[in-house]
Amino acid sequence: MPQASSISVLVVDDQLTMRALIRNALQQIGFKDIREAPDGEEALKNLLAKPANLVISDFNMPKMDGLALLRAVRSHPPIRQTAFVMLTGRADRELVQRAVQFGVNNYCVKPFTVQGLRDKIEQVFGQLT
Amino acid sequence: MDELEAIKVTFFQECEELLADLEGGLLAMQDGNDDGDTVNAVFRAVHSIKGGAGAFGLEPLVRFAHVFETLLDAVRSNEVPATPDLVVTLLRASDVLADHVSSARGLGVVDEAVSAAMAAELKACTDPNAAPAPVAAPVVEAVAFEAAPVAAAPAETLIGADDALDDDDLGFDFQPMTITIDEQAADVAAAAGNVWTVSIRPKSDLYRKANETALLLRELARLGPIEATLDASAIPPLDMLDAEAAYATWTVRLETEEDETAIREVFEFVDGDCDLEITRGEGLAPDAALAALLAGEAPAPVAAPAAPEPVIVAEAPAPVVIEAAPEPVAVAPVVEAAPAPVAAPVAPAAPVAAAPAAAKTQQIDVPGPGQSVIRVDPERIDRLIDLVGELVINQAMLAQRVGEYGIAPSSNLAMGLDELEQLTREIQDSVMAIRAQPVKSVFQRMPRLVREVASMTGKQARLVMDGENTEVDKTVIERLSDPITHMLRNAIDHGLESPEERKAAGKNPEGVVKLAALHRSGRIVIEVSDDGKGINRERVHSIAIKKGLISPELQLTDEEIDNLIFLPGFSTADKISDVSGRGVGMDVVKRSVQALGGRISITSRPGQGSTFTLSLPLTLAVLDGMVVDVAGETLVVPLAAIVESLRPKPEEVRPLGPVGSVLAVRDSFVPLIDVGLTLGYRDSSPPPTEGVVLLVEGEDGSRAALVADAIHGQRQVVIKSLEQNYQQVDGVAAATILGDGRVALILDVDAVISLRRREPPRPAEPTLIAAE
Repeated sequence: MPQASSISVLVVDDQLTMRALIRNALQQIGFKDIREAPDGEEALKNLLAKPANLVISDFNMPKMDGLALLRAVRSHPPIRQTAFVMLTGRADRELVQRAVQFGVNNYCVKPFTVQGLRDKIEQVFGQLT
Repeated sequence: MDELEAIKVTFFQECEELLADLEGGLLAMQDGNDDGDTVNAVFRAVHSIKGGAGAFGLEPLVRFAHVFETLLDAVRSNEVPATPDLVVTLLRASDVLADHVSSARGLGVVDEAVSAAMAAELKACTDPNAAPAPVAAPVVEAVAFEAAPVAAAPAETLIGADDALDDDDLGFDFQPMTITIDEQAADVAAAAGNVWTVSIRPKSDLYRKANETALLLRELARLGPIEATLDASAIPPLDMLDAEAAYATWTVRLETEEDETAIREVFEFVDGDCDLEITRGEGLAPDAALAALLAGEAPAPVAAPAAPEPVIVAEAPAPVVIEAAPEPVAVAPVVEAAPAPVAAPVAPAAPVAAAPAAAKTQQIDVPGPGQSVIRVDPERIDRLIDLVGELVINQAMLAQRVGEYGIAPSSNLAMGLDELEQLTREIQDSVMAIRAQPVKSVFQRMPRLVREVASMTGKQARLVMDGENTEVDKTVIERLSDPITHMLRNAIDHGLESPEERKAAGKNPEGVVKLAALHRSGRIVIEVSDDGKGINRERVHSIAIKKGLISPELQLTDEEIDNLIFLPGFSTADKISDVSGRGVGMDVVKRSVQALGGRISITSRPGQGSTFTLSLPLTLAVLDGMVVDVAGETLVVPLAAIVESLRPKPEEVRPLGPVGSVLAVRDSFVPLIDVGLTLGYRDSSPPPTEGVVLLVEGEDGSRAALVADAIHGQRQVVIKSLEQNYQQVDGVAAATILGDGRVALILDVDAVISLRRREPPRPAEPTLIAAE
């Protein structure tokens, strides 16, 4: 049972509000090491400089979208195993299917609650303490 | 919950940006720029607004944004073509969306009827065959997703609300892929096994044969991710540098699945022209720190610079829990450095006393993007600017005292003070630069205004903007909005003709209104021009006479007639329209602009259009001025207005009329104005030859010679508003505090010139603003 506080998270979303909300939710779950990036490009740079255990990423972002980020993460050996949870809207079904092909660990449909997000993360890491 | 409130504030700030992006994107589409990126950016803006609004339960906003987004999605996927008409609709929809945002913020109300009509219009655009069919239930293919459905407690915040549906799977088979942190760590470690260190030291022959290191690096990068470090320590000082020689050494950390042969192949063509070393694993100590960083560790203090064997983190048996290992693990393959994953991660466990090399690698740590932009409460900056203003005054006082004590300018004290002055200036400039903003924030509100005014007046207008990135102090920006709004309204309402009239005149039915910003001689100039009919001078002239604003026998130039519209009580509109006639005339605009030390004027060409020109100081905080004495008072004359200063010779002064006189300056004559007399400091002027003359130029280019008793020197002064602290005084722009602590008034040069003109005993004559 991993401890939430020992899992490092990178939140990727082009919207400051959304990053703040997700950060807030993660803090409620017990995460402490939370970083942010506004797009895939920054996220990848960030990860290569300092890997994280978990990436929570939006899909539609400028420069490099969530799907491209996922592919990039999976093709860089040191960070290949980063857990990747994609945030999607209901309309993005095909997108999630593609994300599955590229090895997404889980997805979370907006809107979600703190508990909903927790469940999704626990499905990947096991129950969090 | 407080935190959520704070995020909500952020959300509304972000909405402003998103709305601007939305409008910007739509305007780009209007100009025919409808590539995928632009359309997607437009979509994303609405999508993001909707997402955030959902999280805060802003229902009306979510509903409207949803309809809008649906249409944009269809445009994005080319199901609905982005015709010019559609873009116009989208622009109007963006206005309604902006209203919804303001309403959600509590800053106004949405016209429900308008919103509903707009939503219906958007829906019709999305599906032209609008069979108002009930929304079909989504086709569920295979529901096998095991996740427990989230019981959405109503009190709980829904994050990133999209559609108001609460089941959270998309109806297809998906098993979350579990992962353990140990695997990740092992992966990070394993990756180090594929690491090569390639050291390249080109010889000069390499360059002579027109090869280039960059090409080699690019080739290497084809094999896998590289990190290249340049060792430039061998480069001699410039005077000893041989331009033909090669000094640099590159150390490349390459991650690749390929073997050494593949790496050597890259260097096939430069064989012998460079020293090449290829080793498996990380390089030596300094690189180890970098590698450690890349492996997610805190930078290693280079405690063991001689660590001979490459550090292979892979040898560390799992489990290595990355973030729980604040201790540097990189120096040697030691596992005990990874304590049990109990401790909360100590954020970057910076070895403060580490060697410079470690400090250097730390910089490689990519800062989170959130850190690259700091949002600061503007009040803090204002406070800083005030303080810097005090600092400037204080420094000036100090310098003056030192001067009074007769300390030699070459003394250490005086030189130190000079340096202090320099620094103070720099601090002031830097602080002012923080508050400087591009006029974009004001300009971006204008396209909507133009659309609304045009549709209200039945005109067709297109706004062209230029110089949106021109920067000006925030205090000025805030005051630009009103005059620009007014000038634009005026340009469309009074300037542009109706589409029919334009056609008849052989013009494009769509009028063009141009809004431009530029810097000119230390001021910001805003120009609003239209290609309309221009000012009807006869009519303006006759109205001004009819309203008793000017006397009929007064001979006026065309320019003077044009500028009569700024006279108080002047309004050419026969009927007060909803647009320009909001009870505020151009005279009010002019007065508010003048209060800021600005000028406004208009030029016009019949049949071709008019141009409003507004000029304002770049900042309302400081001013470069000339300190002069007049009748025992100390005044500051803005340096920007001064052309030259001189001592008039008796033969250069010629009388003109009963009281006036002019000064011959080279080939022209300029009116002599005794500042002391004009401001009422004295009743009669001493001969101008006893004083000093400042040749000044007004905003409109008119010149005058101001007579003062003595010049003290040039100084930067901090502007203190006279209106805020006292009241407005004719001929005085503001006040300041001098080095000796006295208050000095800052002269409003243009006002002094015009005061002088109406001075001589014809009290009935109105001020001719045009001539100002």
